[in-house]
Amino acid sequence: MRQRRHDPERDSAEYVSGELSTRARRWFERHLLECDDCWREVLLGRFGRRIAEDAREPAPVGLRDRVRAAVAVTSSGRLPPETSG
Amino acid sequence: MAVTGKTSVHKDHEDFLRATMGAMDLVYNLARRFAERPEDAEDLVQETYLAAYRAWRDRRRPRRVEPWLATICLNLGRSRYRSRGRSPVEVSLDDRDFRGPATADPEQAAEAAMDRQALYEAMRRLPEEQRVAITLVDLMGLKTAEAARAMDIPRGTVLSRVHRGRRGLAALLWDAVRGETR
Repeated sequence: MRQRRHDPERDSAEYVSGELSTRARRWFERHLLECDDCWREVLLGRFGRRIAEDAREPAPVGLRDRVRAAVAVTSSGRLPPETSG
Repeated sequence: MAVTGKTSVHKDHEDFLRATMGAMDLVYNLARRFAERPEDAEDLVQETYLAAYRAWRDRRRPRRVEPWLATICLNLGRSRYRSRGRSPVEVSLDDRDFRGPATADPEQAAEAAMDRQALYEAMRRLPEEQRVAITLVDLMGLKTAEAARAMDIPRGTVLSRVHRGRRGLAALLWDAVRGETR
């Protein structure tokens, strides 16, 4: 197999996102054992991804009903309600 | 089969809601990347759904609703908030040499000390392009290729923004934890 050149930023982004092909993932996981730069980027990427997932905010109670009502009004041909912004 | 116009509109409306309402939390989170105030984000979500419904009614329907709604929300959010010059305070983390905390389990150490408000604040301090990229990929679950189409940029740029955004969040949260424990 042709030797890949590593790209710590791109490889770790794809790896943490689960988007490497099976073959590329196997290569990268072997590479991680000997490359401090990629290892560090993967750790930071995983940590950051977990923080991003934890920062998810639930939509406010009532927004669902408000949107349903706005779509219903639009579908009936009347003017949709004004937004506050 | 003959259907009346009214029945057809009603079916369109019901089909649209059935297909898209499950994505509302995700659209709301994307809207929050643009809007400082929650009520502004709610307005942006409503505008997104109305624009999407008009397209749906015109038979412009997507294979997957999440990337489609994301694209609409991004376009509306950019024009609305850029034109008003309203955007949250951002910090650039690209130049910092953040190498990570020197503990055995940095994730556990940081998460133990952070609260939800600190998480939201860290997210809001990222540069907008990174904030949007990690929201599309890490919160909405879009593939980086889908995020690239929604943002109208190359996939390699999405990967770079996603990674720098993740790195930036790690650095901001670690700073917040150290500030509290000093």
